[in-house]
Amino acid sequence: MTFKAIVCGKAAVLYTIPKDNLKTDYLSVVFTLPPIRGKTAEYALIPALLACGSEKYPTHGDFSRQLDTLYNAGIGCRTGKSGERYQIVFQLRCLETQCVPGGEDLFSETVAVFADMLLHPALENGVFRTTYVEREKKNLCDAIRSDINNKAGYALKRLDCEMFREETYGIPVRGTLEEASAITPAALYDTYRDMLAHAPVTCHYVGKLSAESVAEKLRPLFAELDALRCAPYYAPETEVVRQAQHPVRVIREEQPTRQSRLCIGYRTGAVLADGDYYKFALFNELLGGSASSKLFLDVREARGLCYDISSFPEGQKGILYISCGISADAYDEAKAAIDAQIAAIRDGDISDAEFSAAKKSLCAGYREIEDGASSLAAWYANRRQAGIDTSPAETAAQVMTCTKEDVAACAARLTEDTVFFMCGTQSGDADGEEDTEADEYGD
Amino acid sequence: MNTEIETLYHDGIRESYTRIRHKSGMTVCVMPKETAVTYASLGVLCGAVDNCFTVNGERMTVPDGTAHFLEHKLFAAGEDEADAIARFAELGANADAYTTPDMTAYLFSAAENERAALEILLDFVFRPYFTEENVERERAIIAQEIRMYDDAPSQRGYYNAVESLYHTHPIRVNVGGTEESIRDITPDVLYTFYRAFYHPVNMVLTVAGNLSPDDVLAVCDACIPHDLPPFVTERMFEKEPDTVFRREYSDTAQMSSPVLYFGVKDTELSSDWTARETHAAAVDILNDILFCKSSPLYTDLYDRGLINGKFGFEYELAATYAYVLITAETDEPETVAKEIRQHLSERVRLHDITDEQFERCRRVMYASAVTAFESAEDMMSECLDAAIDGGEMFSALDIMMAVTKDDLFRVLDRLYTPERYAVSILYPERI
Repeated sequence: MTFKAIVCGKAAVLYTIPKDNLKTDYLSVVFTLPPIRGKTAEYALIPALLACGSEKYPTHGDFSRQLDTLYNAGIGCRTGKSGERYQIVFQLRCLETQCVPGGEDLFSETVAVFADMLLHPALENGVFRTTYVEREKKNLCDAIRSDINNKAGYALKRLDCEMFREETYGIPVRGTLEEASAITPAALYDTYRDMLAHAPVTCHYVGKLSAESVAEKLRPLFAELDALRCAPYYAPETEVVRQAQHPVRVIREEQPTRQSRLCIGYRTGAVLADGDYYKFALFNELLGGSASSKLFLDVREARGLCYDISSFPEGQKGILYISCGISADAYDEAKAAIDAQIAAIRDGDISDAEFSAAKKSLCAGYREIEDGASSLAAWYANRRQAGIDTSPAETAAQVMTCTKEDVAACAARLTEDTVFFMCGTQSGDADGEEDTEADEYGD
Repeated sequence: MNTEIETLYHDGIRESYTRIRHKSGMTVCVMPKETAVTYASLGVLCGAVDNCFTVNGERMTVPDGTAHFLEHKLFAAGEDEADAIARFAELGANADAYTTPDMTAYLFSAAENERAALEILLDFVFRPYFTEENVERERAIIAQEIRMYDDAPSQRGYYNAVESLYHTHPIRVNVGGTEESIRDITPDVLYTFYRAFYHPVNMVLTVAGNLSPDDVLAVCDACIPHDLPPFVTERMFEKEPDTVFRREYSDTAQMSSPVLYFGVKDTELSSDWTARETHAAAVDILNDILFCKSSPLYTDLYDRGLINGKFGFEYELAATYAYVLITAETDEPETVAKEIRQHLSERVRLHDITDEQFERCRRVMYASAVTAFESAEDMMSECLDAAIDGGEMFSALDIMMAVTKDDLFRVLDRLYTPERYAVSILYPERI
């Protein structure tokens, strides 16, 4: 499906996705930044600083109060990456006019608050306020340190660190503690000004408003932004490594946890830009994308080795992850079972029932995307970056044409790159250890 | 009993749905919506707190974690038929289930074959199949789930807080039980629990999406068993003292920063849904004014660097327990606890809720209510939560919008008194 792209400023494009059964207007505004090691902590800090206060709303409390007054309008901001493009993402959401008791145009008002937040941050001596910078640096450090609180997420982040240690993709989205601690208000402000000047901007709107109407409502924001913009505009590309370049790396790390986490990273040899990525998506669904997938049915249901197991792909860089939580002593059996399920698909050992179930499950997932504004915007943003713009429904139709040979070929292209095993030392399974924590917990 | 059908409207948010009192005793709510995906949920009024109950007057107890174990195992099927997950998958439907302290729910989402998927939902839930072998296999899977949650500091912190508030109430019990308690769960235990609670009278079905009330009613007529004995189970809870179990508690977990759990025990309980909901609405609005991101307390703590943004509050209210739980990641949990106490004491003393605060909060609540009806999934879930609790979601919205400032002052004075506070802190382990 092709939506009209409206150029709304210098290196700024707006796509509107019409959806008339929503009660909200949704707008995402994405700034794309170059992947530079040492800079990503600053990228992470910029949205936090912008949310601290502006000329019109000097504190974060003032922002919150104003957004509450606009019927709980939301302006979310975060950093992320898509492939090797590092991004600062703003998400605006508010009640659409017909749902507001007084019929106010909340979208325009929310955009105005966002414009103030983005373009008129609270400053002192021409740079970000020191007190705000120091506070947000500490919060960023807290957030980086808190990775360990979520063991599954931590293990996957460690896998990324190990697997991409020589690649741009391995640059941590929020930087490191050292990088975050070293940030100064002046350097951060320079990076922020560079972002305003050189970062390409992509907007996706989902809701009832027409493309022209959205563009009109965004005009004041982009008119002001344009005055700050100048070429060259960043154009980061993602380096795709289609095959593992070395024998499988196995990293084992001990942690004082009850459960162990096994994470495996593969090079897929398939990326969204190839145009037939839907075949790989189907392979993933069959392997570990649902509760009727091969991994779920074998490793969990038949062998009882885990509670959670799944595979999930990254389509810009060409990666597949498998993640599961197991007992420390189940590593060999789980790894062998995972290998065997991939081999089974490669060898065409796919029943009609499981193939059909995988297709239907994947297509149902695509249909679900159509019901949500943010999921729809994210779908198109991800695809447009790869140069395609098929809708969820169109992609579902493509999936239905796939053959078993297609997915077997995807499995054959897969090369295992890195295994990260977070070995829990408190499980009571290894070395005959007593499980004292569990006894305490049950009290 | 005859089937009764009524259509409920809400003028304010321009939504409607059909409520069916099915002849089986089941409450069925149908919300036709033009969406790509249809959602259905079958809730059973039993959960982790139900480890002790009476059936026809006879007292029974089951091991902790039984409701959750049953939720896992109900998807199983006999040897010569596909289990429920596979049957849903064949239709292109995704199935799921969850257990809370009070409820067990079975769900599916489907972009096609919605009616057939509903038939499976109403079939497998009424056809339990537990064997020594399949129960044993599930035990290993659930043990991994328990370990996963044991490794989550937030889980540890939550249960520490709830254990601080309650002396004996089974809200203290971990939903999944413990590895030790689930060792005692057998097919007999599961059948006992199943027969006690899995009765249409004790269930609510909600459907949102591309199924009409007629479609849903036809499936209910065909699939819900009609020859069941009467429902004779009663939940049993020991008398819980009004006081908190312990005022202060600390523990450690593998985590990065300390987290404060500031619990407030609410003893204003009622078995009547309207009374409960009226109270809950006032507490929710008051809490939003007291603790939301634009509140003086939050902005003060954040500006002083005492909290880092990971600050939250929730209010849980059921017929037999209720509490407010404020959580804050902070390097100085004791200071933040002291600040919260002082702030609450000042607010009680001054009664300083302004009209502007109140109006802002009402706008937030109104918008939350409207957006809850944007997605079929949220609508299904809102409807289920209200109906399983004996209520109705549009009435809940009206009750919310009718709250006055006087209601807030009344709650402020009664709820926020120091003897109801229980402070629990989770510190990082020293590695």
